Amino acid sequence: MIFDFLQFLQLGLFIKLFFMVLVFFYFVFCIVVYRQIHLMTKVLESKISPLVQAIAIAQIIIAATIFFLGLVMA
Amino acid sequence: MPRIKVEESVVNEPTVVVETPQPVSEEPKKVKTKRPDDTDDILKSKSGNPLFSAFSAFPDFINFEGEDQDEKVLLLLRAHVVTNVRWILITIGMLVVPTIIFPLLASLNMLGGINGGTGFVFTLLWIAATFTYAFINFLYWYFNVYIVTNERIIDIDWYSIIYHQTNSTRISKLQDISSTHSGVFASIFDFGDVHIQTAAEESNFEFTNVPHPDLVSQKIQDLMEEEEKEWEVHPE
Repeated sequence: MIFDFLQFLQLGLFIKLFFMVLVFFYFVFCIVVYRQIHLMTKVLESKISPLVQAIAIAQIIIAATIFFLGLVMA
Repeated sequence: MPRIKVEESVVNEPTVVVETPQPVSEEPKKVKTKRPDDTDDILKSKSGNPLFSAFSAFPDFINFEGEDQDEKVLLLLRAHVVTNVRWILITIGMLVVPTIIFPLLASLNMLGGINGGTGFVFTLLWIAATFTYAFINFLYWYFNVYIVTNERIIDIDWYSIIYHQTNSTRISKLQDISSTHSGVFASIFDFGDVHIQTAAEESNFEFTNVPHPDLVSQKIQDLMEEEEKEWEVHPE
């Protein structure tokens, strides 16, 4: 029974670790996207450039929030 | 008995012919051809909002890197909106997953080892990733633009998230231009490719899946003719 519990714990830990790595990569990816958007809005300037950049920043914030939620809840 | 020959008489109704004096013109009749002004009018009528449209003629609020002071953007082109249908459908499919697939897997006890908290955060991550997928695909469409100015043509490509390329060439360097429609959707929605051949040392240009490719090639041909006339007057 103890062995089963430990196995379950390890499985849960493994899933959590995998999940946190996934979220971390998503966070880094969002930063790269923002950086590229920043460059592209210089290449092509238009009225919605600030909006596009704002969405990219919002993505980074959401990714960071999910990462912290993952640390606390998962 | 002598045969009586009956001749049918044709009665012509009198017609009144009124002859009006025709002006004598010595010049040969000119065939009406499309002038640059006509093409501009057609382009304007087909033009949409430059911020979100795939086909925008004479846009006001668009600037690009390396634009000269006296340079004026005549056409701003992107791939036709229909080409976005694939990723939009995939996005809708991805949004369906957390609302149908996850509860289904949970009801079948196939999410062993995943507690409620992890499931909740994973669902959040899935939705965020779906949004990112849609956003990036929109950006690929939005930033892959073809610009025609009164001086040159510019091809801005954003191939992947870490690589973009900008090519440009002067109108005077253009040699040949052609347009093609290929496929059922291209014929229905009037989009296709515009192939632009430049001088040997320059790379060729291809506007892919742009709306109204015939009009675009017509406009570029007009610009080429204008450039040629300008060169005849000022050869330098």
